[in-house]
Amino acid sequence: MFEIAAVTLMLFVALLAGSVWIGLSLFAIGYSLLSIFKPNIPMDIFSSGVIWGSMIPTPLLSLPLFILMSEVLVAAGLGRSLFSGLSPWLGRLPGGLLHVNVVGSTLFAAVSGSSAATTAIVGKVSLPELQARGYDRQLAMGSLAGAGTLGFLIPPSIIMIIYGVVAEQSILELFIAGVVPGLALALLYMVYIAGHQMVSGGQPDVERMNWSARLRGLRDIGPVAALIAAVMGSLYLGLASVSELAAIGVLGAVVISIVLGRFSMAAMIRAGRRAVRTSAMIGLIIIGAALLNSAFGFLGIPKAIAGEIAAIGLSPFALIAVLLAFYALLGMFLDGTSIIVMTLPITLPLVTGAGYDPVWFGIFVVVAVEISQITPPIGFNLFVIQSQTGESIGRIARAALPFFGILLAFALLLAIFPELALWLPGTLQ
Amino acid sequence: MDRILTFMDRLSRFAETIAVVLIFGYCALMLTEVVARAQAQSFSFTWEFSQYAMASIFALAAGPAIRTGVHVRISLLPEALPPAGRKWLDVLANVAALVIVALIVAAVWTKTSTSFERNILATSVTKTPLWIPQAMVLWGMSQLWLDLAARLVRRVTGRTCEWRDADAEPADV
Repeated sequence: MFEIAAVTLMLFVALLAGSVWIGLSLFAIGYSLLSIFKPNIPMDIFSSGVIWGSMIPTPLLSLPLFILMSEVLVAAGLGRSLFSGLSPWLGRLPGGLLHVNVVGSTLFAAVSGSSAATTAIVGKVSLPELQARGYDRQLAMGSLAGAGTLGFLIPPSIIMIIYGVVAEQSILELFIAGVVPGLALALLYMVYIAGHQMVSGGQPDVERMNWSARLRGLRDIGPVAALIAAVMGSLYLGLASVSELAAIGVLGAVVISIVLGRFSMAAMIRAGRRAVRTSAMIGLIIIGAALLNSAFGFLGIPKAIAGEIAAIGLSPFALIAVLLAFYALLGMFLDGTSIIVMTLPITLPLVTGAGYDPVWFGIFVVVAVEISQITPPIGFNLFVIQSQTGESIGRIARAALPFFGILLAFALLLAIFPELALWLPGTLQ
Repeated sequence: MDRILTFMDRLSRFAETIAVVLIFGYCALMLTEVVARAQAQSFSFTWEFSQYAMASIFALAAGPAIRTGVHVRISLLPEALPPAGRKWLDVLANVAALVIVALIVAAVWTKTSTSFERNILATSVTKTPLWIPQAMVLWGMSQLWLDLAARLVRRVTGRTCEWRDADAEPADV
């Protein structure tokens, strides 16, 4: 086993540090391990079966469609509507318009499964507006980086779909389980922003909005609210499967772009092109991970690691704390999809063996992946904000540090109170 | 050389266009199924054909995703290197990627040719010959190899090898 571990580690370091694309690296590692340690397996036949099988699972059908829905909304310039619609409602709170980052991200997260898309669409409008009105730039960038991660936790979520496929769990149940933690996390962000602004002072004056301005704001966010209600309503009432729901979401997004007067065939095709590329990127990682995980299974690696960890005799909570540290560390170098598909075959049996629910672990892993979005050197939300502000990654990461702390504390809170994730699915069942 | 590269780009763009048609197509198929079910009807092929479309999308857009820098990779080491070192590490990674994708193409070729020779059909009621969707995957993976080859030539000869424009979203998730 030592020999296998050494070769695996060597291949990981050589390929990933050598900047070979992650999906292809995973495939090469799986292929090499089987070729070296299981030479009797006919690799072309075996790997062809794994490749084909990993590209057609039914639960994965919703993934490209949710990405398309998000891209159609981005093409419709939804960020502008979110800012103008939310400003009259949030401007007078302690923290003022900084809350637009959190509430805007929460709303967009409910129609998008992507963290970077959420950060990009909200930040594109909110960052220049907040700067123009004299808000603390650090807090504006940090709150956007943190709130953007809600794209993964509030359903629909691409990461949850991938977790559901790999862990063979109900995606619907995962979506429902993400609602309460998502809203709780958004609330924590808002409490922090309000507290920070009250302590540091210097909140810019915002003109008092009357009720007609607020009602005008509702008109701006109305179409999104309607889409959220349609998607969530169908989800909870069981009117459509998750994949059909994604298709309904795409239709709703197209209708919204027509209602907002921003529909064009060119924009739709552009959204389609971006959606297929992002889908292909995730697809390649899934293919690579499928072969790697098959290799791990054949070589008995998950069982061996589980045996080693069981021998240490960690308590369930200590195990979760160790896993959180492990995921936070991995998140510094890998993206969310890769983290999930690479680690799950090893970590899921460990966690379920310790008595945790696999749906709960799905939510926990999503929070861990959210952390990875804002930890340098590889943190996609940081990259998005860098492209929007031109600030250094280090400065943006420092701005996001309090929100990193909140996420970390929230993950532990989730471990102490698993009901945060499991209450809603349990109630609806 | 430029004419060959432009031709390869056109092939890549064409594959991407087919992927776009497929994503909107299977979305429409799903919506049709929802409407049909509301009238107590159902199409037997919706899910199966959607699965084939998804596999084709993953493969056909993989090459275009290379051209637009959407595929994720760890850039820690390249960023720490001087420009010349960065270039040759990138070339090395590109060569490694070509070898890996060649293995994938060989595997998918095995699958497709076996399905064709043995006339393997889907186990569903449609009894679709499986070599058809598998040939789409073979096409996509071959296109990925071509896009990587074009990228390598451009990188070695100092041409622009990725187009990270507004159309190429930052690689996510």
